[in-house]
Amino acid sequence: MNKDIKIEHYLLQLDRELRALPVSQRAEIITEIKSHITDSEAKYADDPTHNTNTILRDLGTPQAVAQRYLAAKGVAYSRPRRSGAWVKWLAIGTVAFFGFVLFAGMSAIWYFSPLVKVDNENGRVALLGGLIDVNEKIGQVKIGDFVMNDAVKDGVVVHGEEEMSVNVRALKIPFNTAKLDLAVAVGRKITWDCRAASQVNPEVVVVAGVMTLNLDKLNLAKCTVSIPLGIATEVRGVNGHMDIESPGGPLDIALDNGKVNIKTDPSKVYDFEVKVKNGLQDFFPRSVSKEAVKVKVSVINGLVKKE
Amino acid sequence: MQVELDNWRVQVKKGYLEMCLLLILRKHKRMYGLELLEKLETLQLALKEGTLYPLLNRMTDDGLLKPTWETANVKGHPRKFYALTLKGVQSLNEMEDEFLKMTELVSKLQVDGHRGKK
Repeated sequence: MNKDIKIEHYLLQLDRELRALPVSQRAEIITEIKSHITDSEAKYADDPTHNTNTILRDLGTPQAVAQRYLAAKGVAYSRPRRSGAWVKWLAIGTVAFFGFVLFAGMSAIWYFSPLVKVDNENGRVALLGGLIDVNEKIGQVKIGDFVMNDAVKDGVVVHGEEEMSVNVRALKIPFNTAKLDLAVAVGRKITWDCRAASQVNPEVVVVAGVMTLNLDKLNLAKCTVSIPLGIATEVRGVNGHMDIESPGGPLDIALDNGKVNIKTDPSKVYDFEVKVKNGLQDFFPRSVSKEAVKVKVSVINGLVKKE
Repeated sequence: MQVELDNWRVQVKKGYLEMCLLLILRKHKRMYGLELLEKLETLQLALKEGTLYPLLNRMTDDGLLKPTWETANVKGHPRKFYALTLKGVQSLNEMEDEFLKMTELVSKLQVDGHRGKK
């Protein structure tokens, strides 16, 4: 450290310690001590055993000198405020407080708007920073690395059909990650034409008049299910891209992430109940008509379109 | 023993030093801090600079000393010279009387005591 800086530092500290005194008295003291240091430096200029450091050391610490001045004047010595424990705890408290506020804020943002990016013009919905990406323009739903679109031609063909007896009134289709198209079948047969990663036939179970076509365990890429007219259908999917053509019976779709496209039959009346928690949805009319086909679509993250 | 002796020395020195400073200043008319320190050193009355300046400050407050800042005849920086005030002169006279009494008493007690008899 430069000797002048050292001296200034010493004098500054001394001034701080003397702050109980009026400024004019402090100035007098500081000037005298400065004068002493300068005189001592001149006096010891040729003495290598003395330098600024030893001169300052001989004076004593600014605290000690100040205490003597104040004691001699009968002024109580008060410790100057230093970065003591309370400053440290204040700093910790402040950081913790703002940390908490930031955390709470981020949590609130996460809770109330789970990072949904909607591009209405291009019919695009991106969720969770693009982890789920619904792209209307190219007819594609991307979930992670998994891409579902009409162009998928890969995989093995899984084809099947099942006669629906008259006592079957309802159909349940659970699926995980796929492009799933629903169409209307001719007759009483339910058929499925799928492309899957492996040759696994879906499980078909009928319990109490409800048929379950379980697509959940299939490594599906794409699947078209044709459903006989008038069968109440319930679809439960995690990630998907669904195209539904002319729903002929009551339909209940619940999809966590993805896109649902609905093409209505103009000759029919529909009563829609469409809900998208995060994303986009077209306008779907409601109806109180008794003949209206009930279509309920519930999507958490994604898009529901009407064609 | 050393601690007690030091403590005693500090107590005795307090008033004694003040009187010595006044005596020096009476003799030399006016002196500044470092000069006083050097003088005290030659008299083997070694005093820390960090103690001298507060003492001079207090004696000034008490009206015993009259400081004068001098910038002429000194190289570049001001010096604070101390001289006795009238009150300082009077106080010193009283101190001398008092001190004389004390030394006489001490001498008397020493003669009465063990060490004096030796």
